[in-house]
Amino acid sequence: MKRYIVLLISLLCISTASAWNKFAQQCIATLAEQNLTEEAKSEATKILGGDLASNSWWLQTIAKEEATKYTSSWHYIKVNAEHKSVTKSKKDGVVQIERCVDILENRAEHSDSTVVAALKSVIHLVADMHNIAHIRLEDIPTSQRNFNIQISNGFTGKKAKIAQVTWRKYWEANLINRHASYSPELFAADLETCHGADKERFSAGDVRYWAADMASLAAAQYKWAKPDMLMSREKDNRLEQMNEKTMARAGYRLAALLNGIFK
Amino acid sequence: MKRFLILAAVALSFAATQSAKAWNNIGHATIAVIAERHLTDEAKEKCRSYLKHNLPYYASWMDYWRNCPGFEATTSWHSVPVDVNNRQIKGETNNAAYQINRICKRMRKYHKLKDSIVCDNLKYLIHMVGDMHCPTHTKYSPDEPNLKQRSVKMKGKKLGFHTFWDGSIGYYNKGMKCDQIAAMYDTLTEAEIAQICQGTPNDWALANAEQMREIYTLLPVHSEVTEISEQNHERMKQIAMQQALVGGYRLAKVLNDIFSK
Repeated sequence: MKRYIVLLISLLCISTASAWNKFAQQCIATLAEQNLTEEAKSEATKILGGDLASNSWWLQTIAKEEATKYTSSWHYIKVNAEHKSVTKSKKDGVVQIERCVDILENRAEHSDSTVVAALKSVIHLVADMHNIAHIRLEDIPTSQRNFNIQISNGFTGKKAKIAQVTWRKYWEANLINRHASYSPELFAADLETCHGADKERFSAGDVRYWAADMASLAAAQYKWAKPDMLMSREKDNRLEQMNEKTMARAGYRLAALLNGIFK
Repeated sequence: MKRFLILAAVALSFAATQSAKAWNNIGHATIAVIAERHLTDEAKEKCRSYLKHNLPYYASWMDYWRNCPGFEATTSWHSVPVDVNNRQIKGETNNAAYQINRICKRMRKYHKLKDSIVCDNLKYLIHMVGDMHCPTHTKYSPDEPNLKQRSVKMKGKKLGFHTFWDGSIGYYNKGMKCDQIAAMYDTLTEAEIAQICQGTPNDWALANAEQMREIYTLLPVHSEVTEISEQNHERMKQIAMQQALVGGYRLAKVLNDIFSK
């Protein structure tokens, strides 16, 4: 039976979560690409042999391969109790972004394949570090970082439905799920309409500063979120707005990072 | 093994529910994209300045908020109840066409309203003009039992007739995003669009009520969606896409009129 449950969980993951993550990644990469300088866009396209969005999922695919499984920890960032990213561990997302930026800035000294991998990794990791559930707060034990929550569809009586999801899947998939009928270009255009005026403010600072900014946002969520809590439709609606704001932050910051590298 | 198969079936039906929900969103978003393609520069600029988003972002907003505190009254604003002569039920305010008229009247002096009120009114219009054109959102009289909402089947499973039609834009355009669907179908000439946009929301409600009777003959009660004739599917697709286009063009007309004053 245990075997079947494991199989069942994999089936659920295949059918829902991973694809939505891909959509969010593509939206962020598209927004970033729209905010690249001509120089940066030309250099990034030359390295990748394509656009940012179609290369935004690569790091996720290699995390499943035996030889590159070690990269799976890169998708998360660790911050201390003061919400600062101070780690030097190679397992950390921020450390990996810094390593990749160094490779890209000194690309003449590296092989083409190393440079391509570094750029694909930066595209994915800058997006991932802006997902609330990908921030590992030191003062919250590992066992309390992921738990089941119940989501209400808001109806009462016969139409009432409660869905159970994990906290991580909620942030990775459920919220962006609402906009999955858009193309990444359409959603990126909407992010630009809504948050374009804030792009300079969002992209100020460096990767460690962005990690601290996201850590503060994540810490605020862990204050109210409890295992098995019932998420009201109203709360869900408000978090959706917050989620898209973090996506805009990710897109503008990725653009700022690449514009800085390829200037 | 048996238990695993049952669990797997539950898992797959969960996945199917997720997509079904997205189909509803795709219909509304398609209509909003079509509308946005036909806004005047002035209306587009005004909409963006009040909404702080593009139109499609709020296409399903009323569905997400209908059961939240303060929005309960809006839950019955999604359809148009009509009598046996296709006329709107007199005095019934739980009616999308009535609410569209009420909001349009209020928006004539939009510049005198608070920004937050204008913003909310736009969100209502974006959803309701689309919704009143959804094939099953004309609510026929209970005196016409043949036009009652019913169940059909999708691969043997019971499915609401209403749910099928709400999802029909996605069903007939599998694998496509709302902006791709809008670009593919939005090919009418300016003259044709002007013809479609003639009249008022009341005229549109009447035309919908006359035309949407047909859907009850194309997909009979308890019928299997995947087994009905190709001819019926072709007609159903035609109706679904016609309603999306008409809804989109008329939404643009409503918004252009508001912001031309």
